[in-house]
Parts: sequence; C-alpha cells; structure tokens
Amino acid sequence: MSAVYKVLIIDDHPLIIDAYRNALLEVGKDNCDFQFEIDTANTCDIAYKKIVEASKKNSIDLVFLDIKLPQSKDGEILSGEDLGIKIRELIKGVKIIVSTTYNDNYLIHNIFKTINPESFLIKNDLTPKKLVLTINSVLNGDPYHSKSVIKLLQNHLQNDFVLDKNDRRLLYELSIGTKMKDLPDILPLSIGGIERRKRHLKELFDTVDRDDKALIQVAKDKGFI
Amino acid sequence: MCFVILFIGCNSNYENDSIDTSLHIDSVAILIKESKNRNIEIEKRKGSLLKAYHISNFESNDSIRNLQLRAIAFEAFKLKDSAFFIKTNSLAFELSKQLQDTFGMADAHWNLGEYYLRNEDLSDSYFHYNQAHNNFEILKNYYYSGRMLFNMAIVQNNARDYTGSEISTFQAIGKFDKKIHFKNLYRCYNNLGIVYNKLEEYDKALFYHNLAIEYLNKVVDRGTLEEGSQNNIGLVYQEQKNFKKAAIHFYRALKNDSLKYDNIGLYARLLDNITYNRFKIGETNSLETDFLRAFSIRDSMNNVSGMVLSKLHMAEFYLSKSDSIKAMVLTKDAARLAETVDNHRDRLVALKLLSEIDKANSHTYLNNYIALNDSLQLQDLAIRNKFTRIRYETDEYVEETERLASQNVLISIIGLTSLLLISLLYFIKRQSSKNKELILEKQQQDANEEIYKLMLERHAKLEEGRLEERHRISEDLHDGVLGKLFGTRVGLGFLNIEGDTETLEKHQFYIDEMQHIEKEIRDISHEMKNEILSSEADFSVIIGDYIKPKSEMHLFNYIINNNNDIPWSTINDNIKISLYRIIQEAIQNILKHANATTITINFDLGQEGLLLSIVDDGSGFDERTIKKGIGLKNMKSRVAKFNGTIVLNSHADKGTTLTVIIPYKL
Repeated sequence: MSAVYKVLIIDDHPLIIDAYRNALLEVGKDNCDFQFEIDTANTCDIAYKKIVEASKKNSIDLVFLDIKLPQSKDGEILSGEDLGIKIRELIKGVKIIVSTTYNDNYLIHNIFKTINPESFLIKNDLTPKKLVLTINSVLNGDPYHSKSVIKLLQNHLQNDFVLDKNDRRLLYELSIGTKMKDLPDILPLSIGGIERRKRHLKELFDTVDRDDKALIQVAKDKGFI
Repeated sequence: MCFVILFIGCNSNYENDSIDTSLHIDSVAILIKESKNRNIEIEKRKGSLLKAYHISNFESNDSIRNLQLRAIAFEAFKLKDSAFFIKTNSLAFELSKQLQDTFGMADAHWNLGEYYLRNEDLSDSYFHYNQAHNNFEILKNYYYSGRMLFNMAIVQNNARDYTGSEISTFQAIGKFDKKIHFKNLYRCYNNLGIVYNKLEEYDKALFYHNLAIEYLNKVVDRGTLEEGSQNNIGLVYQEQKNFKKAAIHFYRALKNDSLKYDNIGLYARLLDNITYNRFKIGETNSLETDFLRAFSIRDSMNNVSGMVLSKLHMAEFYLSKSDSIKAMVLTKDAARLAETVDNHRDRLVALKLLSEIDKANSHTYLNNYIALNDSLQLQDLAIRNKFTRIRYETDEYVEETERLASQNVLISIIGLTSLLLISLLYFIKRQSSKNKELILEKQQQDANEEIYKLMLERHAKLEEGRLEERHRISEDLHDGVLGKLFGTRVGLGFLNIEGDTETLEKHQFYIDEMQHIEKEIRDISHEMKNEILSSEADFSVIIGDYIKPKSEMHLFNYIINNNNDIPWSTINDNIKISLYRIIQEAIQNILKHANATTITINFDLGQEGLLLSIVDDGSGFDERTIKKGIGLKNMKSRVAKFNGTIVLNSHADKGTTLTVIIPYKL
C-alpha cells in the first residue's frame, strides 16, 4: 500500500530545496510505498504560515528544517530552531530532519534538547546516498544522524558531569568573545555570579589558574561548545 | 619788699657723663672738674675751661663733643664769662641741631634761659625756657619739662606777671611726681605762696606756703629753705598788718644760729624784716642799730635791692621820729640806688615816701610817681603780651607739630594699609593663578585620560568592526557559499549522468572534491571565528600602536613581550591608562636622555600582581645623581593610586630598567 507523505522543505537556498526534492524523488523511485507531496518554504514567515495551516488538518508528515534561517518579520521566530519548536508543538507525530552547515556542539546539544529531531544532518557530511538513506530510515521510524553528530553525542556520554543551560551558554558566549561586562545582559546572572560560575567551570575542566581561553579550549575538546 | 626767689636748679646731668678711656675725653673731664674747684682763683678756673674747650675741638666724635661743649658752656655761665658762655653754648646748640639731639637742644636753651634771667632779660629768658620746655615735651621728659615750666613761672613772677606765673606753676606741679619730686614741688608751692601774696590773696598765700613746708619736710637736704619759707610767711602777715603773727615767723627763722654763716643774705633780710616789724609793733629799743646792721651786711654783699629796702625802712623809722631830714636823705638815696639797678617798684615806693616827707615838692614827686607808675604798668603789659605771644606761638608750633605728627602717622597708616592691601591682593592673585594652574593641570590630565579612553574605545570599536566583518564573512561562507555548494553538490549527485565508468568515476571524484572544498571553507569560516579570542582588544597591541611610529621616527628597535595569560579585557581601564602613561613618559625619557637602540617592554603576571618592565640599553645614569623629577613623581603618584610600586634601576653605560608592579588578582 502506498501512502502519500506530505513533506515540507524549509530552507532559504533554492539549490538545497532542489537537492531535497531530488532526494525525495529518488526515494520514491526506489520504493513505491513512499509517495510524496512536496511543499516548500524559504522564509520563517511562510514556513510558519504553512505549518499553522497544516496543523489544522494534521497534514504534514515530514519536515526538512534548516536551522540557519533569517528571523521572521515580527521577530517571533528567530531561527530554524524556534520554528522546529513550533512544529513539534503544533503537529503531532511529525518527523523532523534538521540540517545545518554548523557542526557546533553547543548548537547541536541545544537542538537535541528542544526539538529532538528524528534526524540531525550536518550538511557537509551529506552525500546524495546518505540523504536517501536518511529519508528511508526516518520514514521507517529509525533515527538517523550524521557521523559527527553521533560522535558528539558519544563524547557527551563519556563526561560524568552535567552542565546546566547557563553553564553552556556562558561557555558559548565566552567562546564567541562576548565581553564579561555584557554577559549579565545575556545570562540571568549577576557579574559576581558569572565569575563564580566561571571559577566553578575552571575547576570542572581542570583549568584553575589559567585563563578563559584555556577553559574554552578544553570545553570545546570535550564537546560542550 | 624782698622775697626769697629760689635758685633755679642747675643741670646736674653732666656729672654722670661716662668717663671714656680716650685721653682727650679724660683731660677735658679733668679740666672741667678743675674749673669747678672753688678753691682756685676765678681766672685760673676760666683758663682751665678754655683749655678744655680747645682740647674738645679735636674731638671727632660729635655726640661726645656735644656733651663736652654743653658742660663747658654751663661752667662758663657759672663763672660769669658771658662771651665764652654764649660762644660755647651756641656751638653746642648748633651741633645738637645737626645731630638732631633734641635733649642737647633743650639743654642749650635751658642754659640760655638761665643766662638771660641772670641778666634780667626776662622775655628772652622766658623764650629759651619755653623752647627747652617744648623740647623736653617732645622727648616726653616730664620732669625736666616741669622744671622748665617752673623756671618760666619764676621769670613771670619777676616780671610781675603774677597770674601768668600762677598758671605756669600749676602746670609745673602737674608734671612732677607727688611721691618723688618733693623739692621741686616745694619750690612750686612756695612760688604760689609768693604769687598769691602779690595778688593779695593772703589766705591762699598762707595755704600754699604751709603746703610748701609740708613737702619741704620730706626733703633730706633742706639747707635754709625752711627759714626762707618762714620769712615769706612773715611777709604775708606783714602785708596783712598782722605784725605780731609776722614776728612769730621771723623769729622762728632766726632761731637758727648758724643762719648767719649758711645764708648771710637771708639773715640780713630777716634782720631787716624783724626790725621793721618791731618798729611797726611799737617797740623802740635797738631799732636803729639793727637796721644799720642789716644794711651794712647788705652793703658788704653789694646787694643793692636789699640796701634800697633797708634805706626805705630806716627812712620810715626816722620819719616816725620826726627826723624828716634824715628820712628824706635816706629816701632819696634809696630812689637813686633803685634806679641804678632798674628796681622800679622800690623807686616807686621811694617816690611816694618822698611826696609824704617833702611837703613842699610833694606835687612834683607825686607827678613823677604817677608817670613812673604808668610807664611801669605799660612795661608790665608789654612783657605780659610778649610772654603770651611766646606761649601762643609755641602752642601753635606744638599744634602744628602735632598736626604734622598725626599727619605723618596717618600717612604711614595709609601707606602701610595700602602696602598690606597690595601684598594681600598680590598674594590672592598669585594663589588664584596657582589654583587656576592646578585646575588647568587637572583638566589637562582629565582630557588626556579622556583621550586615552577614547583611543581605547576607538581601538575596541575597530576591533569590533573587524570582528564583525570576520563574522559576517564567516557566516556568509557558512550559510551562503557553503549552503549553495552543498545544494549544488547534492544536486549534481542526483543527476543521472551517462557515460563510461571512467567518466562516472571522475564525476564522483569531483563531487567528493567539492565536499572537501566545503570542508575547507567550513574550516576557514571556523578559524575566522576562532580567532576571536586572540584578537581581542589587547592592551599590548595598543602599546605597539603607540611605540611603532616612535621607533620608526627615532630609529630604535622595540620588543613587546606580553604574557598571554594577562586578561587585559578585564583589567580596570584606569590601570591600563596609568600603565600607558607610564610607558609614554618612560619612552619619552629614554628618547630624550638614554640614546638607546632597543627598548623592551615586558608585561607579565606574578605573585605580586601585574608586572611591567621597561628596559633600555641606553647610556643609563648614576642612581645617586637622579633628580626626583616631575616625571618620576607623576609615575609614582599614578602607581600609588593602585597601591603599586615603581622602581628605577640604572647604572652608567648599562641601561635603565623601570619596573612597575600593580597588585592584581585573577
């Protein structure tokens, strides 16, 4: 029995949309069970509108979601991540394939926390074959992630300590060179609290008496950033 | 009638003159002493004095010569050598004037006053006493000023200006100390007694004579003053026709047996007075012999006025005995004698008596009497006017001097005040300009720091801009290029290319190659972002920016060693500003003095905190000779703000090291 899967591709690059479309066609060619009804959106606004519409009919089965998207006009949706959260909220049972060019640990970690996609793809790891494989896997109910994502998750499992959201954010901000004095505006912490947390992190990463750079390097090596 | 006129005191201040070791002064003093010796003949004494004068002419020290001259003049006066006195005294006066020796001038006037009094030149005498008085007043020497007033009173008494004498005496009394100057006060009150007797105020006369005696009792060296006073009191009673009481006082005086030897003149006067008194009471025995005894004493002393009185008293006595011929002869004698010594008052008495005795020529005598009386009254009036004028002129003079003095005081006060004011203004001005300078300095410092802050900000902005740009490029690469490349690659991958195996393999190879390119681009993009940390607005970079153009201009090498652990971005801006300033100052100093080829700036972190050292290989200097200049002081004060220390080490030809330590905790 062939089913028609309703697919929404969200990406701001027509080339990529095209690539996904080709991949889906390829999957449909190989397996007659999978028929696709493809819709596309290249901005957050259009994507959100389509999701809201579809949610009423519960009519989307698979979403290709690009993380790096320009924010929506009303500023509600800042990125693909926010959009993903909306999709999860609005459409039950939808399968999400996140794709991004970033292999940034912090980002990946966060996306697993918020969206928990069926598949997390690093675009540059992808080849047409892998893409087809992924789609098949996901449609069959098996999660499929890029190699580097898996490696990252494994790295994480090896660490016997847990960083909370603020710790991760602090490390991340430090890594992108945010100034200490600007941090209290970003984190819900006072400058003193930030200093304490930083000291704690340095103890955790065994970089006491060394500077922030060392801390960030170690945190990066351990896959927290 | 004759009164005891008191001796006008001699100036005894000469005797205390210090005896100088100088031979001249010695011999002058000795010669003056010789001239005082009463046992030597008058002519010899005059000779000694003349010698003293000649020796004193060699004296170069004017003030000493002035003293000597005055002493010589006074002795000449005592020796009655008028010409010599006038000469020496006027010399002394001129010298005193030259030396502005007010006391010397007063003394010379005093001498002249006495000289003219002795010569009966009353108005001149009064003038000089008055001058002396004024000078003593200027010196605030009230004792001498009082004595001069008393002398003036005596002169006025002699001139029959009794009211004037009364006033002067009271002024003199005011100058004396009631607890010390008993003798002078005695003289004053005695004079007042005489004056009031003349003014026919007998009660007052008696009162003051008694007061005089009270003061006299406190005097140690009384001489025959008491007898004199008794005589004066007796005369007051005689004036009142109270001959009995008068007799009591005359007798009281005569009780002193030695009076004959001590004061023969007074004795003769008392003898004459008591005999006359006895005659008036009505006694008869030995009157004639007593009158004659008194007369003969006076005659022997050549006391003409006394002789006139004696003759008049005797004439009265003979007239009472109806021996009018003897009386007339005596009276005429008296009148003639009185005329020889200008004793006009007694001549008047004689004329009046003659008009009573010589009834035939009574009219002529009376006419003569009236004429003489009128002329005398005119003379008295004239002299009184003269006194008044002298006094008035001095008063005016004194007033003028006082006015000038007060003007001088005023001028000096004004001058001083304006001087003070000016200096105050100057001081305030200086202070304010100093303050302004300080404020300016502060402003400049603030401005400098502001500039530095701006510079830092600019640097940070620049860095931020640079970073932003990198971010943008990185993101463009990532999102745009990478995305498109990815899309293209996958798109290519899905294309069904037909061809031989080799072509297909090549196709696949290119697709794989594209994936590699993607990876490379991604790496570049990441690296661009990763550089964020190292390219943070680093302080050492700012220092490099400062020193680089200097090194190019002044041709020296520089090395900046920066410990990468120093968290420059978190270090207080003020510390960085201070370090920047110190480095600026140090480099300026090195360029100015050291002639260095390499400057090394080290930033490090140590136990003590942040470490900065600036090392040059220049000429250096000896530490001991270093002047604590403004520069080093400024550096110290900058570092002190952060409890830091600064050390300067240098040796000649071995360069200089400036080390700054600022406590800092990571």
